[in-house]
Amino acid sequence: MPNVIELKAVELDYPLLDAEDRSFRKALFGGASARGYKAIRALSGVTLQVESGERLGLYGPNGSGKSSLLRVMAGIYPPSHGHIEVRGRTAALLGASAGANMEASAYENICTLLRIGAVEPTVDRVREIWAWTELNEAYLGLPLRMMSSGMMMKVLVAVVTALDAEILLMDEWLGVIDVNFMAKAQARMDAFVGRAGALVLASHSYALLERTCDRIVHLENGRIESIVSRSAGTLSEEPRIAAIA
Amino acid sequence: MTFTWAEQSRRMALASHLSWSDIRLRYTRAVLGPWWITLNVLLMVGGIGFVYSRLFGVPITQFLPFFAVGIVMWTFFVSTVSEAAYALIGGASYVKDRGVPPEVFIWQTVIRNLMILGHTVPVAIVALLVFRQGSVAGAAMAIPGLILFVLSTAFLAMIVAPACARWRDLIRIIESSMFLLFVISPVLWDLSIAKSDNAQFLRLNPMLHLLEAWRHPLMKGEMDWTALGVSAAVTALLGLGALYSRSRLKYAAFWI
Repeated sequence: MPNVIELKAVELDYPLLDAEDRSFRKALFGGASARGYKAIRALSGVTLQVESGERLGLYGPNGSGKSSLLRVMAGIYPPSHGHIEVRGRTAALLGASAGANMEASAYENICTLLRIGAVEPTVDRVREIWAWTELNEAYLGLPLRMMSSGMMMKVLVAVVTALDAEILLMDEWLGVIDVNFMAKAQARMDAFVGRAGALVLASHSYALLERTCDRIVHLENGRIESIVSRSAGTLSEEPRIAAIA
Repeated sequence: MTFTWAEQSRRMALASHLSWSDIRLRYTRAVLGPWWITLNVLLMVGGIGFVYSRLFGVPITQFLPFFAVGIVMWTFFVSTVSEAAYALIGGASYVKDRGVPPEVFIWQTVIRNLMILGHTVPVAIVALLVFRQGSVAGAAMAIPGLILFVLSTAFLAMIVAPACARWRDLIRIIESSMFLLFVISPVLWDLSIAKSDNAQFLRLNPMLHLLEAWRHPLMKGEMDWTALGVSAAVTALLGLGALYSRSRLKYAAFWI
């Protein structure tokens, strides 16, 4: 299988800008303190490949670098060092609100999100997405703020998995969806991966990743601690990453 | 990411869609829809045109159309630049959570204001027709200057947006400098009414030339080559700044 994402020794220094670093007047007249703000090493020495048709899980505590890694893969953060290559269009669903406009109707939001994913929003396509969410028809025309976060998440997941992308990047989104719907969401993601796509999913929940993914990358302080992969139906730890690299 | 025309046109299409949905959302409950903007400008032009023509002792037939064309383009400029200051901050969740290129939100600001301009330009045209000012030939001669004016505005938006995302106090600085620029730019007044040569220093203001490059031919039926030349130079300079600024956009996700 060809690699759709390749990272080689990727480092990410995330700038920490406080009020002083954000001041133009300080930058102009501030002297020494204006130069060089603090930065946190969010990722270091990350070497990783994602194959086409693979479901990769990212596991680790808060601040371990899961979201940063997803954003590097999505091309949102440029790596400070190292090399990244992404082949194919990515679709990202990362934050909780994930770019939804609360004042616009669900219908309008679906159209906008489809356009962001370079898909022409036709009435049929929106209907298909809405049918999948199993939500009441009445909500389609109402502002998004009238929905609960779980309902909204259903809509967002329905849209993002309907996109014409090769790589799906998702972060902590299953938590707010009810159990029955989770199976349905997983089936839809499987269908997406089945269309020769790849999925990268970040979560705190190891159990969720075990159910969903072929390989789980364990991140700790921005480094890859271990990679566990599924062979013959069970997950087992790969040799340490240093040995692969 | 390497530049491709397909990707660029995709970004522009998305920006246009977002602009149009902005306008629809803003005026969806209003009876006149976006034509409220037109009515607003019409009332302002009528009111200020009447009051200031008396104040300056200039015939309203001259002053009102002069002011109408000036204020319509000036408003486009100010709104675009001031709103650009918030463009990336407003698009933060799309940029950080959906991976939408930051550039889209700058074009969205420019295109939205062009759409609004489409609703305010009729006021200027009506003012010219009603008071029998300008000519078709003059309007044709105004086109190069108008293009430079719009391009300068768009380039300045491209410069302002990332800078304001990076340095937040710049937003306030831009807002207050817009007022200062209005005071020293010939929108409400014209250098021809200046009684003394002391006012000539105002020609150092590039905005004066950006305005005169199209307004002079439009109103007087003759080219103002100096203003057009200065406008071209200013546009080229802003274009270079915009190119540099656009290259910094890859860091925008860190700032918003």
